[in-house]
Amino acid sequence: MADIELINVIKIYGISLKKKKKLNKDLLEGKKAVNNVSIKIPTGSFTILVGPSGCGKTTLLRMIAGLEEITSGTIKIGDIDVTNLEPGDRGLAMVFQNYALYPHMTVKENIEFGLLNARIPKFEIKERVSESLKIVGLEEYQDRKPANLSGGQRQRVALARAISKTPQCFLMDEPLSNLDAKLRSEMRTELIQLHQRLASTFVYVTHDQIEAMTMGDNIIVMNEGIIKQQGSPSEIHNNPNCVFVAKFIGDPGMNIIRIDEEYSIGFRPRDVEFVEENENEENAIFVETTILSFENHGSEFLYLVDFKGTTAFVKELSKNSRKVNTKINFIIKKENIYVFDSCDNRVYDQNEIEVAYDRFKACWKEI
Amino acid sequence: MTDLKLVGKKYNEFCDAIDELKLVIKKAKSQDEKERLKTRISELKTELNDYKKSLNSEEIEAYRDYQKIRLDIKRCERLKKMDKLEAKIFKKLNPAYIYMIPAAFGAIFFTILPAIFMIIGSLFKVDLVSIWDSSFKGFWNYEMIFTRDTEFVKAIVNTIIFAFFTVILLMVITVLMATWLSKNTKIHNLSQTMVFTPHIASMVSVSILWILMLDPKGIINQILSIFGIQGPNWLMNTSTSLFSVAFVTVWKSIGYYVLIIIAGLQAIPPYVYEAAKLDKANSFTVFRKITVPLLSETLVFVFIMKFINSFKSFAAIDLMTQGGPRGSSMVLGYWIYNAGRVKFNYGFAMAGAVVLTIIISVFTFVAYRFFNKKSEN
Repeated sequence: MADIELINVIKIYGISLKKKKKLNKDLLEGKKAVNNVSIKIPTGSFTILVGPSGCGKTTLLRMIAGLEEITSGTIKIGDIDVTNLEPGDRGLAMVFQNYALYPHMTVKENIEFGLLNARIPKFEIKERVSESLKIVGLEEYQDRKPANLSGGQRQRVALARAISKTPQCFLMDEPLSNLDAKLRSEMRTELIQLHQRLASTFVYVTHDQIEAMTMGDNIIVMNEGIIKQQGSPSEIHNNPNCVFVAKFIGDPGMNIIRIDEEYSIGFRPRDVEFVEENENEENAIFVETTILSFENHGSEFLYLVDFKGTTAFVKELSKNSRKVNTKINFIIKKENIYVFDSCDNRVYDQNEIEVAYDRFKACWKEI
Repeated sequence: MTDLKLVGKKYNEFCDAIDELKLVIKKAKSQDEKERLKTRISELKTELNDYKKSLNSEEIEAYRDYQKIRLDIKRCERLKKMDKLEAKIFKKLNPAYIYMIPAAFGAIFFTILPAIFMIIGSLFKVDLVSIWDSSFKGFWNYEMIFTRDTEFVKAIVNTIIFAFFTVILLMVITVLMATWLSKNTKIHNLSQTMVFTPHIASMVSVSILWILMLDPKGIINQILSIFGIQGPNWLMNTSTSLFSVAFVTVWKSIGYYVLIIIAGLQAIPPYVYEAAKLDKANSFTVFRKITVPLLSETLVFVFIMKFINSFKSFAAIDLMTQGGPRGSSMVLGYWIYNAGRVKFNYGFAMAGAVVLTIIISVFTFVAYRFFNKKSEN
């Protein structure tokens, strides 16, 4: 129906499409905030753009919204090319990180403003305002000014303003990052419920991988203006296609150990089995090492262990912690090992995986 | 190392001895004893100099360091004394009063006392040559200027017209210009500089420039004649003189107020405009519903400042029309000058000034209340 599609989108700051003459040269030389991105965001999905700061995710979102000019490429919503449309004409609503409410207007006026500009009849505006305020639970606050609301309430007003427009797509730019931890987790569930209720597309930008994993059903991982991987949360978590995604997703990220020039291997801190002694199991590597430090997460403990010069995290579900500088033994099963090549890309070829596994095993035994 | 420490020890011994002797001199009674002690000090000094000369370069450096330390100690002692003195004073006196003195001096001697003198003087028939010959006349001065002086009432009306005309014209021009100039590109920065230039120029030069331009055969009428319009004699026509001068004062002050409004514009967060873009607002709606309301505080400031300045305007009138022709551009500021410094009727001038003060305070108060109420709603 109304998939959002980005085709070969490039953004270089400081360069305008209007100066066509310089464009070709700049395309080669400029620092690309968004580098040749092509993605498809399906209708009704809760899509999360996630990546470290400065990776271009907000730029990408603002380009979809039309607030940022595109240096080259096309953006389509449904079948319509919206590349050169005004932000207001794209049928989108956006929720900003700092809420972007009009400080001189009351809550009601804030919501009405967009509807009045769209020349919607008065009675419908009234209906929509009261309905959207009901959804976010702020009916009795409609005559207050934003300055007299708390952070969470302002966030809700911004949401109500977006809801009232009944857009095809909601764009959200780190909407929860200005809230405290408790309110953030509350709003998280509320947003998930809102998505189910409205059944429209959500595009959500965050740098928090926990937010990404818990909220989204379609995650796009970005780094340095490039899309690294797109997929469902479990796909991204269990099947990362490169070192960056493996390290970025998960709490903490995957342990990556370089074994030689050709390969590095990775394993998740959770995917180890703690044992007392070497049982010489088939297809598993026995690791004997010492604990350098640990973090108490309540129901589980995260240990930083010495791993042949580098360090690795392992996680144990237990109520009792081990002590620092004591021995710790565990095995890593073969099926839990990920292999990456010298360019940090995932190796899928079975034979190559065998080779890397053997090398890893061999170099571990040497010690 | 020990050598260098010895240098310090010896230097300090010398200095201590000298200081001790100086103290003794202060207490000494007979002149002979003083002389004797003074020669002893100079002896010690030459001894110290000789010692200094005997030192090698490394020791000299140490010697200088010790000298510095000694001076520092002495300075600290002095400062401590000052601190004690300060504490003593401030225990009895709130320091705020002391800090107020410079500003209060100006305010008292150049504003408050003259104002009181003015109010009292307005009740007298003032003779500045022999001030004790002045005679008390009650409200006679006020009665006279309101009933007998042909130009005073006209001046009040003109002043109010002048103030409103300049303020409204200025606000419209500056807000529009500022919204255009607030972008940060080369051409905008250049225009900003150009718009600001008249503010640096003196009113005299600006007035002379405009006198030439507004001449019946000046550049403005020449341009109008291209379109077949016969321009009036701007400054010498009773219906245009006041507005011509008002226009010139507006032109001169545009740059200054544009700068203030640009500062106000830049304080508006950019995300508000982005939200408005997503809310389908066209540029006129954005200007009307977002820029102007968010700018209101700055606008009130500009309004009141310019309003007061317009009431006080004098130089432009004096230079360009001198209140003429036939009092058509007479404003209160110029009328007061005229009554006092030209006709030497200080009683009238003072009464006029009191009236002007009252008008300014009433208008400012009303404007302030009006805008405050508006921003509260």
